[in-house]
Amino acid sequence: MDIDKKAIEITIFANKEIASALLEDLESIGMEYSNSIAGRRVLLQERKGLFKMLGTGKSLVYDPITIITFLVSSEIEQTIINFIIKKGGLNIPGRGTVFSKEVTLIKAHELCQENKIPNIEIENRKLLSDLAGICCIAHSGEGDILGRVGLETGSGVPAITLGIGTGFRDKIGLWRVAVPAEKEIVNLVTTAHNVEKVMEMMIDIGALDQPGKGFIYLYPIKMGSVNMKAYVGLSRQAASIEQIVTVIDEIKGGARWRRREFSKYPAAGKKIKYLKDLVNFTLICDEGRATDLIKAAMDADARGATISKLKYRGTKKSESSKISPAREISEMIISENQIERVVKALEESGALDENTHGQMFYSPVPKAYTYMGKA
Amino acid sequence: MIGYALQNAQANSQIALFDGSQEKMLEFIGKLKKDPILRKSVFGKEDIELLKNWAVQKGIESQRLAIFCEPNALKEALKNYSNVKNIKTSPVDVLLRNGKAAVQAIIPLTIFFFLVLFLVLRDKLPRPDEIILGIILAVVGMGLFNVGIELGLSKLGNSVGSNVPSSFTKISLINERQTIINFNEDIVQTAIKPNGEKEKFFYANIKNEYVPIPFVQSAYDASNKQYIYTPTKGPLLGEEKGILGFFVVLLFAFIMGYGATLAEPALNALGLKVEELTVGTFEKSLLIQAVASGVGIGMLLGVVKIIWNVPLAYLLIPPYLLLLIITKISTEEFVNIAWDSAGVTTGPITVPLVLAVGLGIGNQVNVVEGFGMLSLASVCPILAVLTVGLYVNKKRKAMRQENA
Repeated sequence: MDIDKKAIEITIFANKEIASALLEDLESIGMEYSNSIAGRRVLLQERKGLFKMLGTGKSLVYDPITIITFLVSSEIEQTIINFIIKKGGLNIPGRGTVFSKEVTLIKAHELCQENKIPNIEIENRKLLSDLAGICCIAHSGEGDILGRVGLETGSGVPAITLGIGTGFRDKIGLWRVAVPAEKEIVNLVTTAHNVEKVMEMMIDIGALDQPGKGFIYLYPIKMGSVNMKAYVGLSRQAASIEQIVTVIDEIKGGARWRRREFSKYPAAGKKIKYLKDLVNFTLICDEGRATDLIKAAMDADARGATISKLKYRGTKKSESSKISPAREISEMIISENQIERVVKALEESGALDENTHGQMFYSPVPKAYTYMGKA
Repeated sequence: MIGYALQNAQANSQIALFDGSQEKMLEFIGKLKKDPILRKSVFGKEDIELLKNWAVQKGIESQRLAIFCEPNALKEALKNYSNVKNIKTSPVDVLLRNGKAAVQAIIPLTIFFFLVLFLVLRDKLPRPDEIILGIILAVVGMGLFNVGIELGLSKLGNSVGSNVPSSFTKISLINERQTIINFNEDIVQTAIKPNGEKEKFFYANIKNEYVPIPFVQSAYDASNKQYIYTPTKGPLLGEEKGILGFFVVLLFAFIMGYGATLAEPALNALGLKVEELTVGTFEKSLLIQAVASGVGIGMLLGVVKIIWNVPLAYLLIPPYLLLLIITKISTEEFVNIAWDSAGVTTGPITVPLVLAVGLGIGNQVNVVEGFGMLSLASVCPILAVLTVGLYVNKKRKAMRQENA
């Protein structure tokens, strides 16, 4: 089914319990379906006892989170985000992040259109609009190292999920057994004016300028509310620093005043040659179908993809409940002129049939980086 | 198990495996004499010479008679076999046997999966070359792994397990037992202790050294004029049944259980899966440490059971009751992982080691058998993982309350 229209993708990073309650609240106002991915958020914790005396710095602690995504129309975007903030208490530091991203819905099975949620009455508070996201796909075990950049610089709290990488592995025949396919996907939402510096640091810390180390890209965010509480422990002051920052953001009408230089991580000293004007092509389909479809996309010149497991939840009342809850999401960074070829290849491989229930959309990627070979 | 007991355990422990009936044991030995396949399963080879050699070197009088049938044949055998050392199994035989076992274990299962995939699910293999390579590596790996366990780890476990009680008591070195032929009671002498108690002993020339050996009447077979000499060792640490010796044995049991579990491939696989399913929030290392500590404590309790002959029920019922309570108050996530951890502790490294050590210690402290340790090594990891789960949940709850 051809659509090719703009839609809004709402993303929530929240603790498992909060996410579960939010889903029920969203369904009560007419959300037909959503996708969830299990993940973890990483936080800093002051070491105690002997470790503190030894000055071994801060340790990382993990909190299980659920990442919820769903598509809505742009008319209801702000209302839905405000509803989520209110119901989930996401304005309280430490509870979670919610943001929206503009996407172009290309083709989708008829049961996988955007959610048609009726308008609701809710107080529309001003949301942060100068935000941007960083997504980094690295080897399994590297997520904490990369995520720590966000925590140590106060940029944001990383959300880490797992995925399977394809691309390089499929080009080396049976030698692929020596290259682990498991990837960690680090998502960090921060202010738009700091995002490039944080990205540079992540490239440096994760040695992403080395062959096969990973892929990193920026994505624009339209509006949202970001969790900034990067540590575990109660504040000894009447208000925590995150609460103060949130209030100043509201007074200043944005987060631009937070623009600053980071000195802890010196830049690698190399001029980074970014890949520009790409798109993040997303395919969501029934579990078990992604591998074949990605192979078809790669035959149509896509360089690789990251596949993650997704839990689909359709409300009982809607037609969308016919779709299997076990789904997969595949993300490919391609150039805009490849979209047509990839879509055609996917369609010919049955991406929209009754066994796949495919949904294809893309969003802009203004900057990306990976090792591209010696210039 | 019977093969292990026949070759390493004392007669009373061997009889325990036949419901305490000596007749049943002798009947089994009669079957061993007739049935080459049974001999292969017990001694690793069909060769009847192995059985005869075992009877002369390690068998008791009734076992020997069951094999040689009449005293004259036995006398002749004693001459022929008494200086023959244990016949060693060839490494090639071990390799072939374990290779065959690996094929028998993996190939039928693989065929079953293929049949289900192709005929029932009507699907195809996602990456056939990778999967076939994986199956080949699994067969080769399992074969080599079993050889390694049989030739290395299991023998080391036997050796350490049967010797470790020497830290607190005097033990008999059954594997070094020797039969002295043409023994004459005239060479037996008498010694006296400071308290006036008398002891009999004789001198033997062992490896060109004159060694005084205590004379035990029950080890002397007057009709065949032979004396079975079993060397002894210990107590190595302090006095007989001293606290230090017991402490060393208990510490050894804990470290052995802990170490064997760290090396357990099944636990590593479970840890990886748990880490994947919880997206790293339950780290593999945390699970492995919790399970390994649990197995260590289980092993320690198992050794307590053997040394002090504590009934297994006294050691099993309290932890299971405690488990039921902790299961009730724990979250589903940890309950499932914890109870599944019990299964992986009984893996291919832990089981032979635990049994070898259990039987080894059991033999030396005259306990009928050393079973029951595995059950304790299974229950304690569940307790350990559930306890860690309660701690992690408490931390998470505190984190949530901070942001409420």
